[in-house]
Amino acid sequence: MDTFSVNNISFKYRADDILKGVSFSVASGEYLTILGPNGTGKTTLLRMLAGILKPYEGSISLGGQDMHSIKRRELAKKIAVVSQDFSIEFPFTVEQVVLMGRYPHQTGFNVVSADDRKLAAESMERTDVAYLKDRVVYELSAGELQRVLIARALCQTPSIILLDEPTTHLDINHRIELNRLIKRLNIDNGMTVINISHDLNDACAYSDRLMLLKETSIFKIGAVGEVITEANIKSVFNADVSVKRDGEGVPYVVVRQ
Amino acid sequence: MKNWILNLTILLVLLFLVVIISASVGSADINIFTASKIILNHIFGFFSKSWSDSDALIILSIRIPRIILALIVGGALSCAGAVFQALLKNPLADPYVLGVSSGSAVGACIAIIFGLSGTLLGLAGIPLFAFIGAMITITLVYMIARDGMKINVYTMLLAGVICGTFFSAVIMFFISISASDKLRGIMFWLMGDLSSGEPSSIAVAMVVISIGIAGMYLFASEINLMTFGEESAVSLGVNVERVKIILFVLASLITATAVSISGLIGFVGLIIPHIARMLYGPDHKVLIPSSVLLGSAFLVLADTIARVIIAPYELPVGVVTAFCGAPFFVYLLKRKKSYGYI
Repeated sequence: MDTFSVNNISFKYRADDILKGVSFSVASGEYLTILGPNGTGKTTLLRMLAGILKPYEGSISLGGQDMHSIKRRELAKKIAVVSQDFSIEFPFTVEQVVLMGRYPHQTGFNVVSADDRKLAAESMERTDVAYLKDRVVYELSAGELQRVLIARALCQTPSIILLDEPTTHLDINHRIELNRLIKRLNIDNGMTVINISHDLNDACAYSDRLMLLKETSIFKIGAVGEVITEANIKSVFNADVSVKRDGEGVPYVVVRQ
Repeated sequence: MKNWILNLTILLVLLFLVVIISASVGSADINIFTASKIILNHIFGFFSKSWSDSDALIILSIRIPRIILALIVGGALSCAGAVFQALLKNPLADPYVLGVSSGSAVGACIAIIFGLSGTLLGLAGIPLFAFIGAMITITLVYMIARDGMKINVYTMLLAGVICGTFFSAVIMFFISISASDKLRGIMFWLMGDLSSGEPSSIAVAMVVISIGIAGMYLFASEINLMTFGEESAVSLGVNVERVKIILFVLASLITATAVSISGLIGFVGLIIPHIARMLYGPDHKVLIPSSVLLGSAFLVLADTIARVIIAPYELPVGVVTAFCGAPFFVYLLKRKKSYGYI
């Protein structure tokens, strides 16, 4: 299975260390959320996991194979990315965008097959954007666009999905919907989810494990209850919060007045 | 897909009609049916001869070569425009955005002023020097924008603008020192001129441009993905750096070739891709061929107008393309408001 194993990686931007000596592994089917203050290299880490950036030192292996020996297209069959780096310049329709997720699976001249269309229709159904099928993508709201991008990712039929703050610009209703959708992919499809978030409570509610980044390295990685403590949050975010537990023992964070 | 085949057929019929009309219009008026018979007979040879030898000579030796030149130049500029707009993610990009136009104009000016007439690969005199100027510019822009094995499209855009500005200054310098008898030649070249193509250079250009367009078409899916951002395309499995370089080289090459044999014909490479996008959508699998066909038809039509409207004199075709193109573009924008950026 596709287990991520990250061995002592570092990344520099010019002379500045962005990440230093980061090691961890993510099991197949796990839901991991990466937390940390702005500028701690969360997105850089995700880009390296996606194979977009190459570590300056150290290595990342996927299913026992060095990631940079895997061909781009092969990687894209396994890993889908929903990132902030998405710009819309031309009036493609929602269906066209979702179908682009089939690219790594197509050969030759990338002819769209009937199966591709079926898969795209199912993906749009699952993320509840089927009714937007013929709409032009830049007419969509932020929440709709995120769901379209997740539909495109599903169309890639990956075993791993990487998300960079997917709920940031969404209102509470859409945030909950999207979080539930991601959780369903994780539970029903056994998809590995690695998610960057700024919302500590969402992270607690949905993740199997949390990673807390501080400056250029991992401050703490582990089960939700071990990571989310008042002391850890004070130390990493320099924020005063109270950590409580709900009826099921899941921690949640309340801002101290 | 069925729709697309229908649209393609309509475009081909339109293109054929434009060609026939263009072939029959001119100082010697030839009936449109006679013109089509002469052309079809020349290709397929199934009509019994019902026309005079002089009509056949005018159409086949004078008008058709010029029409073919307009076809390939119009197709090349529109295709290059569509690809540059996608790669640079800039709706205002056109084939000349990277300074190819100014570079080749410098080459042409030098050839005109000094009366140079070298020959290489069937290209002679002005076309040869224009082509050399264009290739020097492309190399320069690429070297400025290159960062290791990568190129940043925004740096490339800026490098193109800077090189273009520099070479424009060189052109102005040449214009200000050149004798008045050379000036008309330079001005005509700068405004686009389809009247002086030689069969040998047209043939070379046709081969280069066909290969270039076919090569870019192979990457239609990759272009689609890359319009959403390079990282997004990488994560879907596209080898972005390699595709980018191939496309820049091919688009620049066909632009340089077109410019060498026709001068600077403006507007075609900017508006035709937009018109094609409004009519057929942004998918480059459809957009590239439809831009090529629309661009070819448009330039043949524009050149026909350029050569008959003030007969016995001729207008530079660039004047006609801008004159007809701009209002038509405004009309399309107003009609289809849901369309993108503006």
